[in-house]
Amino acid sequence: MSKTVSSGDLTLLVFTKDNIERINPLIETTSWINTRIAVDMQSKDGTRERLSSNRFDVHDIEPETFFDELRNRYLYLAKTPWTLILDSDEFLADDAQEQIMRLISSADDRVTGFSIPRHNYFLNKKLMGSGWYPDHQVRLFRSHQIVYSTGHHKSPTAKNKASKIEILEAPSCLHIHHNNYPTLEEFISRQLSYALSDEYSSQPSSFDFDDYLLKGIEQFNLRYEGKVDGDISYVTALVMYWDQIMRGLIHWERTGYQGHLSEHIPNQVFVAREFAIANREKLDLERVHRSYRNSMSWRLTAPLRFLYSLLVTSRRAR
Amino acid sequence: MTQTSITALERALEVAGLIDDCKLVLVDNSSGEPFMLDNISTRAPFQIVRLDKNHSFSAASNIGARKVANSALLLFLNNDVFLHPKAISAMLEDKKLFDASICGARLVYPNGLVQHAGVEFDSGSESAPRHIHHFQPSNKIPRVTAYNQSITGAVMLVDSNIFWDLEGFDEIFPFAYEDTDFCLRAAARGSTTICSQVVDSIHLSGQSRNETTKMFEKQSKEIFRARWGGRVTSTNSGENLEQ
Repeated sequence: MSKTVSSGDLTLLVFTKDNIERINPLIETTSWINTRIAVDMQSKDGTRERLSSNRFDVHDIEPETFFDELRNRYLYLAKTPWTLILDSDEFLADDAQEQIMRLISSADDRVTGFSIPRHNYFLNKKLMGSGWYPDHQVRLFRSHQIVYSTGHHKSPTAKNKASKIEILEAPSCLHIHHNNYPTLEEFISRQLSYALSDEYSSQPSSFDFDDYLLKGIEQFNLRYEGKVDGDISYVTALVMYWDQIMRGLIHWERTGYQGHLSEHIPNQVFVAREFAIANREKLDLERVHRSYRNSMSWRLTAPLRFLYSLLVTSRRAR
Repeated sequence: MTQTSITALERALEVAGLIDDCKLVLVDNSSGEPFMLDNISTRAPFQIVRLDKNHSFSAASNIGARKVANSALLLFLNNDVFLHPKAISAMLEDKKLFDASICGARLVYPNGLVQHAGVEFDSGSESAPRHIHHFQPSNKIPRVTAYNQSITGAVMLVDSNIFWDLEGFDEIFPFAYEDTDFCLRAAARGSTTICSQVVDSIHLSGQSRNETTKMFEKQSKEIFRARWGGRVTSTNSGENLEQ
């Protein structure tokens, strides 16, 4: 049975830091929400002032890197029955008010929250393949009933295990719109920022660079779906591959440079290097590449490499 | 297709001398790939209304119209219509000449056959609407603008005050017949409708029809029949309206 609700039953909570270039869609598309709270990490580009002048209740905090932990800490700010969390580069559609009101008015007591599909825009194009869509996010929930995990982009859980999170079925439903990265430069710098701010064990025994190399391959396989998203898919796959290599190196540093990285030279790099040494000449990458792709070993091992990548992907998926 | 339709629209607005005085609102009715501002190029001020849920034509049109509610005139245009450069100036001229509140435009298929030149009604009890001169060569049909009982919503120029007095398109219609219903409701209040026949604009009609829209169309037809059956002036018998 549906209950009478209004936009006064909902609090928008957003965490911000220096995002003046992309904050306007969020401000405009959530103007119907009575209570909008911004937790600002000392923005210096005018983000704080823009939010404040648009009826956001701004809370100033010290800059932090772990957003999900931050969310947990400031969820108490919501004094309404329902909370909606958006990132500063996200926004809603023009019919979101109608749909959110419908969802919360018809939610039975067992429903703690809603997992909402998300459109991800990359270089101003929507990504469809490789898990970028529907990319469900738990962002609309009964206040104080959800716990976020630490680390970046991990799924939150309901405090009451008996309750349920309803998954909205894409495509004709409420969506979050995420203007991920208008430029490649932003994408690369953001990934590096995430990688640098994540947690890594300092125990040398926890570190194996091969894990990161394999995760890199896994990420490439997960992200590359050229038939659906074309070159943009290749770009995201390459950056996510690179991201894992960076994470491996960062982890290595956090262990105090323990372990021998050089034991883990990726296959192609190793072959190219051997080729140059054997021919006693300066590394001619084009020649190496041509020769390598024409070699019998490359051809013979192609099916094995394919099977290996499938195996790695499925193993990680489990 | 949408960009091409907008480019044709802007050229027609320029010819009509309106390009600097109008606002464009693109209603993205739950497209699989949402429209992005950076991917659409316009001269006139431009806004995208994104709808996550797929709304009916009437609801989506009403939501879009509310964004420019203070305008004196509203032009509803499907994104599969490519306006003739003189279409809007001709519509404005005819609208003034006939003192009409609602004005449509002659639309043709890419092969030059008439898709729309106004709407007439069957003489049966259902009063089923149909397009006048449908599938006839446009160059054989006289270009005489006259009063019509109804026009298609694919291209509809309407006085804003009339539109809002009638509370927009009736959202009870799931798909189709809302435009005809609107014209008839306007007529019941003394407003007149015409279809400008001066030039041909292209309409790639029916591209988005599928089993769901057919089902919705059937429901709309029932609603229309119950509301207007036997209450319109019939002119002919023939095939039912296919927009």
